[in-house]
Amino acid sequence: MRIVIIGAGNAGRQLALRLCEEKHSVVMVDADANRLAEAEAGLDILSVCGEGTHPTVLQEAQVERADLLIAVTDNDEVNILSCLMAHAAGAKGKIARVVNPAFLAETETYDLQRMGIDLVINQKQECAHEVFNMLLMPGAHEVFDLFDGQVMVAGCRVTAVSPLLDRTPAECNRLDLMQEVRAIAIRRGDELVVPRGNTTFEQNDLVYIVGTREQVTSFFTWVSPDVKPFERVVIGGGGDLGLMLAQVVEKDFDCVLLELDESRAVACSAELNSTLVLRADALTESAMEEAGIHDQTAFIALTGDDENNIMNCLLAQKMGAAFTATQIARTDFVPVVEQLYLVNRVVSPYISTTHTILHWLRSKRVRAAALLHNLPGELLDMVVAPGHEIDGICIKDISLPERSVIATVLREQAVHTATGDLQLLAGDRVLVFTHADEVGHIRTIFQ
Amino acid sequence: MNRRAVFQLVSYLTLVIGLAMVGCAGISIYYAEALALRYSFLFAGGLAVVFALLLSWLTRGPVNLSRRDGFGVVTFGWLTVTIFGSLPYLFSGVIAHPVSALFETMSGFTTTGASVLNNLESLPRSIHFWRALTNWFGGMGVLVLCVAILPFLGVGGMQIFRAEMPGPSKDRLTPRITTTAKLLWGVYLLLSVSEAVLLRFVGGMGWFDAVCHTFTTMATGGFSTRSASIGAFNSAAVDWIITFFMFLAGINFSLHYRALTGKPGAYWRDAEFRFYAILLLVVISVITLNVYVADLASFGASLRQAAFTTVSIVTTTGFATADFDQWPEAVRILLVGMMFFGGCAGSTGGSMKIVRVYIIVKMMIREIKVFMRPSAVIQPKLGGKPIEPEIIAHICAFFAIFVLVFALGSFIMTFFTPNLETAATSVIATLGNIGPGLNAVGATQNYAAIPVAGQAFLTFLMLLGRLELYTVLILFLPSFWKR
Repeated sequence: MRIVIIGAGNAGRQLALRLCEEKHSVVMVDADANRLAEAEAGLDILSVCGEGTHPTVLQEAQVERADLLIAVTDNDEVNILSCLMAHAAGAKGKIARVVNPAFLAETETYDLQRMGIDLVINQKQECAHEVFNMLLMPGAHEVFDLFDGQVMVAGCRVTAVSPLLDRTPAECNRLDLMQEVRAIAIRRGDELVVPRGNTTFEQNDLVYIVGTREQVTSFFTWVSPDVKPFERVVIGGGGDLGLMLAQVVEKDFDCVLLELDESRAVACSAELNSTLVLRADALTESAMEEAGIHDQTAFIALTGDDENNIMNCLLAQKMGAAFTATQIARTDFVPVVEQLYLVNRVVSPYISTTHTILHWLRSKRVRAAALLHNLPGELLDMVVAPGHEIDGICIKDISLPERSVIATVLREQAVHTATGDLQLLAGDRVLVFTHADEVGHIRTIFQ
Repeated sequence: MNRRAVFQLVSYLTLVIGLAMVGCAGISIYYAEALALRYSFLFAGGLAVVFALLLSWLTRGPVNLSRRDGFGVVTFGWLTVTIFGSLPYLFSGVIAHPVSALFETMSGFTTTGASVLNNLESLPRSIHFWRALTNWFGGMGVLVLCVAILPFLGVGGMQIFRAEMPGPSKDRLTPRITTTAKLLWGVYLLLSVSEAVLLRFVGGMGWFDAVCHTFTTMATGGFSTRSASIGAFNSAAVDWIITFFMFLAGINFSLHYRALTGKPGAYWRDAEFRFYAILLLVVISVITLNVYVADLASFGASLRQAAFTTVSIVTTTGFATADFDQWPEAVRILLVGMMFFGGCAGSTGGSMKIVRVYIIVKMMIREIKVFMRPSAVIQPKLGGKPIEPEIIAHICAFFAIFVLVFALGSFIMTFFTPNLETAATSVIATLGNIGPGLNAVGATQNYAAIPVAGQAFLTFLMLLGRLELYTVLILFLPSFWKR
């Protein structure tokens, strides 16, 4: 695919990197020549220097021939305008990153999608949603939902105290649970393993499971009994992201928001209902004490400053917080923070953006439901056609490729666990997890 | 430097060259040449293939190249293929001394076209074919070929492309470097086929001569199957066809691509092309008049010889139809001056490249203007866009190093050559990848008489010139070798 990316910032570069890896032709446009040169040095891309809304620049980037245009500059107006111009020029797909919620207000007449923008990403909202999922399921490593929230996929780390350790699925003492949720993939080091009945879970495996929200929740309470659900969420920093997160979590948790700037704190408290807004510096022990951090508290540092965020988390840990997560803007910091185990989780809006775009891209191509962040595998959403040879066949009788597994079956809005005896019927939506190499094979089975 | 990845790529390169040598054995069988010759190609090719397979196995693993590694791949790659490429000359006994064989091979791959072989007519055809083939591979770049055909290179491919492709401006035809490399090789192949067909049917050459000379023209190499070079064919049609294709080979290949895809206006819109074309026209006129006035030939013959020689020298091909060493002194010094110019950036031509000369001229004018009006803000432009200060600094440094290497090299070569003229022109003829110089290395002479030490030094200069100085010179920085 020929993809034009407008904006060579963090999100633009991260995207270009991933898209280059997938052998797409990438053209990058940015007005800042230095930033562009920096991006070009490490990537196999064509760069065009200039404003992403100027006709001559768009022409040089050959937007009219593009299969996809992704506008991720820091400026909402520029992003929207680039997409509209690309739409007029005849580019096939258009994606815009839009931060200001005013643009996203749902009005009939001014709906961005109706104007030709295929995907509008509000990266802060995406990010807030990701954090919320994370908070709901302490102990889960990576959580996302499919089929409008009916099915959840979650990654679970096998720790030294995990009941899964050194057992096959059949040997586990909660067989009922193991039969309900389905382990679809294991990341062992850099390797992808598709678990079978005789696969043993090893320490540090990252096991991905699929099930309904209730099933996955009860799975996690069993697997990690020592992790108590969070009661309180303390958010450091009342910026756009902090405020948005507080709005999302205040219904389910006891939420505290720390913001130093007086007028900003006032603005936040106006927007929030049950959240306690404290006008205090999250870097002081007294403020942390006032926020009431205890062993069932999650602390999320969302000030605009990476170094401050990391220090905030360390302080919260010292005060006894059970879980800390920090926003990191600089890509270079992410592996350092993760490797040193400074915090439990790194939150990064532009990484969320990248994932959203990649998910969207994949789903266009193979009707994939999702793509696991760190695995070379894909979740495919296949539909059983009436009269097809697999219509009416039991799951155990389908010969799937080696590194594939049927994760779950959605029939008439109800989720059915994919046991061997389940008979597939026409109209069923079947969620198949497969190694990226086998995608074509799976499609031939179902089509 | 990531040595494992660097040598893995070197191994693929050696594999390509090894297979090409095995192919030459096929030529040898086709022309029913002596058994010893077939075996020397098979043996040399086999050795290269085995070495390549062994090396690629030893260095197996993912390839991840940094900018620095790109330079390493290119320089080591060129050295390795030169060493293996010299084996057929040695095994077949065509060249006795290993250094001379290396000189001949390096001259081939760098498209210099300087030879240590006497009496070319007596050589077997397979050896001729191999010489021409080394030219052709080296013209567009063996590594660019690898970038085109190796699917896994990714970003690494770009680093290699940067280090091997000549010229300061690396305009890309497509976002992905592999596609760009494929397109460039496609254009190269297309032009080569057209030339071979024209030489065969319009020029009346045999297929073998037509193909060999096509290889060496398109690469701006200059190896010929005859001692008297193109002059041996004594045909106006051949001269003009080759002149035309040398001219094409000296143009940026991305312009050819644009023209072939329906934008012929791209040529004249390109500032470098305009400079190149006008320069050629002016120099051809001056030389034609000089030769005609000196009463060396009729006007038609003067024009034909002047055009051929000028294009041959400026594009750094090095073919000859007339012994320009016998021409008036003014013409001789003019031709030596032209040796510094070279082809356009992104062409197969060598030397300093037209665009660099063009930018330096613009800089000179700017400096003179600023001297008069110290507060004037003047930005030299190329094709309507201001040239970035870093590029100007880079080009000035390039010019300085080029001249310095020329001066130092000439000094060194005076120990190996009979006179100053030979010493100086042998240096620029090899550094600029041209081939023939003046006097004892003139158009009808060759490099056989130069002592082995001198040949070794010139071999180094050829590589230095082909890879545009920096790529080779950074290997002399101690910090390059540190982790």
